[in-house]
Amino acid sequence: MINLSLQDVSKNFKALSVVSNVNLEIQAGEFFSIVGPSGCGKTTLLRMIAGFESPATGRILIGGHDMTRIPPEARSVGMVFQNYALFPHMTVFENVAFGLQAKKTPKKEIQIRVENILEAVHLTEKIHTPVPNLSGGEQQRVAVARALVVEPTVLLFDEPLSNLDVTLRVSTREEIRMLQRRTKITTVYVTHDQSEAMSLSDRIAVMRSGAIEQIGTPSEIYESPRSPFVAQFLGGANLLTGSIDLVSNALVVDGWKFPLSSGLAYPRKGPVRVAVKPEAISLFEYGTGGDVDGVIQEAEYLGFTTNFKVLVHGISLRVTAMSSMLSTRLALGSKVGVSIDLSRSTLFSGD
Amino acid sequence: MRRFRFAALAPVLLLFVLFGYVLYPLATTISESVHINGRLSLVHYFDLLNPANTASWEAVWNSVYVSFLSVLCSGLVGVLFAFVLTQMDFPLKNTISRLVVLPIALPPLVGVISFLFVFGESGILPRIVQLLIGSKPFGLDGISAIVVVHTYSFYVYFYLFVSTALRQLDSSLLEAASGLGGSAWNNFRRVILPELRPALTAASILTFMASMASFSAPFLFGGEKRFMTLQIYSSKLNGELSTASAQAVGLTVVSVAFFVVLRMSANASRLSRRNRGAVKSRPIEVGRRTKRLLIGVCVLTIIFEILPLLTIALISLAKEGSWTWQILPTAYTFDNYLKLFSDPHVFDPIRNSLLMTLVTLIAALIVGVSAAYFVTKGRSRTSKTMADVLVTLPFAVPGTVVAFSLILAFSSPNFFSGYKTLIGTFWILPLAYFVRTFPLIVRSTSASLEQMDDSLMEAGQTFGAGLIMRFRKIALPLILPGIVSGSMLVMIAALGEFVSSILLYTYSSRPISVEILSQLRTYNFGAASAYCVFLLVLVLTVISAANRLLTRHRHGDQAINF
Repeated sequence: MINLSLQDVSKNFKALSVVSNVNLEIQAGEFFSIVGPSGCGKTTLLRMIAGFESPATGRILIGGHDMTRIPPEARSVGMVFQNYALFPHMTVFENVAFGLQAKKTPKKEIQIRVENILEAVHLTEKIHTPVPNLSGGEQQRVAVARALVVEPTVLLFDEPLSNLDVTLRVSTREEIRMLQRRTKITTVYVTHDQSEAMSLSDRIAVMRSGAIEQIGTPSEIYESPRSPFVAQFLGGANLLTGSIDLVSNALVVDGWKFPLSSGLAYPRKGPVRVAVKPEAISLFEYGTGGDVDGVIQEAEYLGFTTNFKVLVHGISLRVTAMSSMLSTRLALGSKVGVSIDLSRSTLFSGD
Repeated sequence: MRRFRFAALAPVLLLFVLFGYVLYPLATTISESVHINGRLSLVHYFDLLNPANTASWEAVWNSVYVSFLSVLCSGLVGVLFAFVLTQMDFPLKNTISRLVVLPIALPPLVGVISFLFVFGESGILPRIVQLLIGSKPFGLDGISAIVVVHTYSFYVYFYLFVSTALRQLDSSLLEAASGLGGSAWNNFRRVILPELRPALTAASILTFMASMASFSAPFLFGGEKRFMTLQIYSSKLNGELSTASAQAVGLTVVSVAFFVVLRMSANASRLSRRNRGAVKSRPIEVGRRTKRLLIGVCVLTIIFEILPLLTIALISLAKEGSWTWQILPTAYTFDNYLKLFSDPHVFDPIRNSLLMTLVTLIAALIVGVSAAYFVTKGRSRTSKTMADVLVTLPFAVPGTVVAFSLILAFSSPNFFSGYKTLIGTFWILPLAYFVRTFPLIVRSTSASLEQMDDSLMEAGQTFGAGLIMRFRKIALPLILPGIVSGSMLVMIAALGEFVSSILLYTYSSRPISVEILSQLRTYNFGAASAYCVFLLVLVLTVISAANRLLTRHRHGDQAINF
């Protein structure tokens, strides 16, 4: 069942087009993320779903009803704001109860529902604490509880984790995922952090300059990006420009030849661009392997993996390798052998 | 279905008020000033600016001269207090820092009269001195008296601005300077003074404007001397409306010019203060002797300040006719107070003032809060800036000019007066009070609104809360401190308003301040003082009620219940 649907939605601020012809269909109970760099229009799109902005053209359907011209207060949409937007003059209880009171829920029921949701976000002890006295992570959880407790048709998140520190971000995102699975509320989650989107979502839409570049499950988008932008934004891919040499059946980049595996679809003619994921590049001890030679420019040891920047033929490549005896020995400036697994890369025509 | 937008209503209301009751009366005044017998002419201005017109030039000179002296003296007193109270510790510090801001709550007329009783030509102090040494050595009169009263009323600006600046002064700056080998005097001149400059500039301009617009002090102490505000008043009384108009325009131009400078300097200093996190502030070191001297001067000044208030309280208890040539009244009674409420004739002004204050407050709240909403949350930047400037305009226009322009605009029925003649009615007074005071509510409310995140109201919307519930449960509690402190200022100003009232009142609509003056004129010092004390009590009640509301609100997070 489709729960939220955007049909040809566009929006412009004066002459500037911020969202153009967006079409989305989100299933009931789905966790759907919109990712993109800042300024891509993702927040505007979310605010149009909430009703704070109205689209210039197109329709927005929530739960099957056309909500395009309906004000936010009549949409049954919950929202978790980037800065949480908790009411600073109220306690945790008062904040969470606000939406239920607005709906004239009986007092007893309010009490029970607020207590239940606060238990779910582990804030039972803080029920009567004024929100300014809470930590950032606690405030975040109050914001989630406040949006969830009214059981909206669609729940919207606007970069809700960007004000938290790294460790809190990871644990909170697990909590959000768990709560969403349990409540099965249709969720739209906006973020610029691709790892957040990948770990949380059933499906992801990648946005760029107001338009959607690709929609798919995290693995679909990661494994088969439909554009070089998507490959770079989600996979952190290296983008190489070259051509296909049909005689040797190889990809030529700056005179540097790579054999093409048979499984890879590629255009027969003209320039091509190849998105190569950092983990599709292998490093070898100098002189023992690899198709070409490179020089280590940077090494960033992360424990399980190590990130390198390797200079090959004047091109700087990002490489992620599992940490090993070899990788720890590769000091800055040392020479290495480099090979690329093209079967795990994506080819795009060059124009 | 288009939804009803409060934001669309606010600008309409604001525009109506600004145009009808601020711009239109001012335009009428300008128009009156450039017409003679129905023809366009600048002859009134030529008359005023004619070098041979010594009266006119004397008024300009006196106003400017007194204003400069007032800035100088207020600056000295205000900075001294700021310095002593922020940088030093001594036993009476808390009491003094509470008393030091008292003059701001004092209705101007009350301040002037109480000074008159103590330091005036036939005041208590000169009489004591005469008794002791046989001749009358001093008696505040003329320019010196006006400057003293101005200093008393306006040094608070310097005190507040400079003590804020001193508290924000980063002591690491001074440490750095001494580390570089600067002497104490050099440090003061090259490090502290530049840091205080924005505060000093702002306070100076505010004091200068207030002195130029001052009416009560010149009116009671000026004697034969001419001042710009008095000139407008007497021209109006003589029925020379065109001359009065030209004088009003002249005074307004000077005030607005200073006001523009103030706004610009305030904006500049706000920019330079931004991005300055928590600063560490340590007292500036001063020698022990200097410290004692400074504290001594402060304590003496405070006594000098309280003396007039005590005197007025004493005289309010004087029996009628018991204080003529004596140093102190000879017989005491509570009659003056009892009459305030028992004699309907005596109670009239009190009822008038209370009613007018209430009307003013209601109108100022409605217009002020919606204007604040528009100024802070409006969508178009240019209209916001314009509204901001227009809303603060009444601040810059002297009260005498406000009253006079209302006289010109509403002496005949028109659209903005509801096709009635307002002059001569009760309503013209609260209208003048409203024009003069509603910017106070705009200021204080927009300050709180600016700190309120827009997403709070949006969050309320997502929960299905309608406009009224959002305003009542989200916005109102958050902007309440701003509204309360603005209302407090409006009430203080309206309760004791004198400058506009004296031009607009009729016998049946006379407010307390006007009645005080007429009691004074008929030598009923006891009755006049009783009114003064009553006014003071009213003002202090308003202040303490506002403070109580504010503190309860601040600690009330847990107390709010449904």
